[in-house]
Amino acid sequence: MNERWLELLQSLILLCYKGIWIYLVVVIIACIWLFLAAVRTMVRKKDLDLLHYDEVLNEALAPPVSVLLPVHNRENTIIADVNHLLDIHYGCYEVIVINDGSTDDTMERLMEVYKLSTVKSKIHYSSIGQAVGEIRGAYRSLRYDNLVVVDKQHGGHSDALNAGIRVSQYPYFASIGPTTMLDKYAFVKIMKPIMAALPDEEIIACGGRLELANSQKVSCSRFHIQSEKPVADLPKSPLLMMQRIEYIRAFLISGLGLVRYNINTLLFTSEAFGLFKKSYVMEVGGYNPDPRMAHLELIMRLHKHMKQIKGRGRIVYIDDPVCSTKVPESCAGLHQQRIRWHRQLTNTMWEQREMAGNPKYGWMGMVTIPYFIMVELIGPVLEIGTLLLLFIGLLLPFVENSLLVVLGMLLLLYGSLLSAAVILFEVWLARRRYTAREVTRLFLYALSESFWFRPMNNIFRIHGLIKALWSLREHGDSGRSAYSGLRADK
Amino acid sequence: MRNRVQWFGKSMSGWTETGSSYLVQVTGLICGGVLVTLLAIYLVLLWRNRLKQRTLKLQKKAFRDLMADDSSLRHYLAGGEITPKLLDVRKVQQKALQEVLLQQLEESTDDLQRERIRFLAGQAFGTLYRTQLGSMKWSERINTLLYIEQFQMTELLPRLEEMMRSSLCSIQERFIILRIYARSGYVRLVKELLKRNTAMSDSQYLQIMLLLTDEIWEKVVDHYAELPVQAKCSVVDAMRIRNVQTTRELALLERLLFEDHVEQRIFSLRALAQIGRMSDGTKDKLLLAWHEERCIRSRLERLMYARLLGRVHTEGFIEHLNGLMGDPAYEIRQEAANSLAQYDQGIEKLRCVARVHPDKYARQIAEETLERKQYERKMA
Repeated sequence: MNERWLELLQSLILLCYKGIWIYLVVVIIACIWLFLAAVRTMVRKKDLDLLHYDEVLNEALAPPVSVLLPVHNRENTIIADVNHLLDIHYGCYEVIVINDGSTDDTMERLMEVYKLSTVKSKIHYSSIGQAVGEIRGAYRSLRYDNLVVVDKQHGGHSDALNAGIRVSQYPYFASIGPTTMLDKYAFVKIMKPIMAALPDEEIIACGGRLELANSQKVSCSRFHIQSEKPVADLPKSPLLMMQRIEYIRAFLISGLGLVRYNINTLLFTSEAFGLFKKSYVMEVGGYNPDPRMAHLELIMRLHKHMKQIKGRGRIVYIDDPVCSTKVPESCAGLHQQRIRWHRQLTNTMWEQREMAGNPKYGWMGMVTIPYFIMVELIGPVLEIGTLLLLFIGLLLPFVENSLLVVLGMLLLLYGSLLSAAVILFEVWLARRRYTAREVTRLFLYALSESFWFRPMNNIFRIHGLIKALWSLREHGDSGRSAYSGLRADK
Repeated sequence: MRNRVQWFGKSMSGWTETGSSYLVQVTGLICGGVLVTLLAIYLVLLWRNRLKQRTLKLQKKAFRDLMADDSSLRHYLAGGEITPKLLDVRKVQQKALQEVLLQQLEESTDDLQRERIRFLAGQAFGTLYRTQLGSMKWSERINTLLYIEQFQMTELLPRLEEMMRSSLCSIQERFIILRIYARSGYVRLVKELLKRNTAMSDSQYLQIMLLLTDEIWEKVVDHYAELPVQAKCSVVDAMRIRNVQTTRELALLERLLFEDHVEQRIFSLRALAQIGRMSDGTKDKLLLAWHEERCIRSRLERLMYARLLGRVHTEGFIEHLNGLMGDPAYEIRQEAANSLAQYDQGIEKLRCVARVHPDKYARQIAEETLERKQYERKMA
């Protein structure tokens, strides 16, 4: 290899360093900006008395909601889950349990406990413009008049939700994830922005803060003095602690930060809980039944639809905790979850690729989607790439050590320091009580993020990305067209 | 081996000589600064947590003292005599007192006791709330307004009026102030409702209408024609929820059935369906109007019409209900079938529709309704 080639190779390697440096600076600025935007929102509402939710408790005022609970092989927990939903504090709602082809005794348990009575003729079916798995039967409970059970062929979570939408009778529906535990006042909290929407705006979807269910209960009590502030009750396992930190960070930066400026840029991704205006979801054809797609895909289609019809609909996010969800407790579980998430994210971004960087879709196309691609989708690759460059740089004589120090510090700032800042802000703001020991634990765990959890998480996500790209390469658009065909059927 | 590269447009040796050491310094400074700041915040939080724990302990103690059987608060609530000990309290105890009073207010069903709670709150917090309304913290102002509303502190109404004129007053604050006006029967509210540029949601308008005192309600109905459309619809909706039965209001609702404005027509149909009363003259007029224009009415209007026909019975409506059971929209067919079931021999009429109606969908919905009625009987 002659000197000219060597020089070219060196320049190329140095270009990588420059690129990474620029990337880190840009994402750090973006994240800090979003964090500060969330801080402003939260600080404004700090100490707001829960009395302000009282208006939503008025049955005559609160819009009715259909709660959709898809279940698959959940014979052990189904009764507790349904009872929990029937106990929710809200004016008017129906619970629709969709038995998604369970092969265990889930359906029998439901039949027995709730005294289900068959609806021989069809109950209200709204058309969502796409086929769903065959509905074997619909049932009403003789014990609770707001409980409906739909028994259908297995078709996956999204397909079950579509079946639930078809059967639902109210103008809003809430989708519940498989491991979600709703706060007793979840609907009171989440319907508040809908009820307060001014005549020139319309809320078409609403998400809320998600907590970890593995250790703590989400609770809300107005009278703190006598009833004691709810304790934080942090998990013991480092993995759970890190996921808790991760959720708080995501909630502040990708959730609240993006809704701060009322510019309709939210892409909330949680399948754990979301509230939607049924008419709009039906207009866009419901959930994409393709299991490779994330819930985010529906949100992207809703945004797209709003732009197309020049609608004034907005998607909002509330800063109060509305539900909790179980997270993986082992590395293997986390690995599987992250692979699934990243595959879904990749496929969703690919499916809706025309929106990325497209000025036709306004802030969503020009800011949020590029942000998601840069930070969420390819962020793990770039972060792991940075780590590799750091180690390789130590062996390359033409890379200054000082540059490696700069990159290392930037990684630290982006990972540990930003998470620590988020955590301290959470502690400062929290409605629940943290002990000194818990604050210290959270702070130290957040500081350790860049050294183990973040790289590990990024490796899992890269694995998901590779699998998604592989399947895209293998199937091309064939998978998509199969589902598109299914959707076009009706 | 050193390579010459361009770094931000400058020609340097390697990655820097000057450039990267400058970068190291800047980045180091930022990271160090952030770390030190975070450590400082961490320490402050620990200290603040300790303080909060102590305050909470004191508040709890004050709360327990106030809730004790022989406390001065209990004596006051029973006998109505305020002791200076109740009013002369520190900030920590004031918070506890506020919470006790709010809780008592929520739990108490005795009017006299509620009146006493409100009076005490006025005495204990009047000055404090007046000051807090001028706070620069939005959440503090909102909380204060919510407490004022709970305790119905009418003596603060002029201060609220002043606050509403201020440019600091946000949309939410304005709404809560109007709600306080509504609860306390403050006449100024009518003037505010007549304003065309009021930024409020439909639900917020309705909340206000539902809280109006009888006297203000009368005034609002008097000025119905001058209200903005959004407020008009809320008034009609409030009539439905309040289940008004007076001749004047019923006449207004009947008149609105033939309004040009669709939304008002829909709201009045819905309200009359709820109230379940209508004059014979209006029934005939309605039959005539709908006989000619049924197909061109909006889906929601047809739905409300179907509902109304189930609550206000007359023989002429049955034919319309039979027609509506073949409507293209499922909800309307369902509503019409439900309405038909509410007539004398309704179940028989539904069976007949299920057998002989020329429209397939009408037959289906009749069958479905018969089955649902059976389910409802089992539930009962």
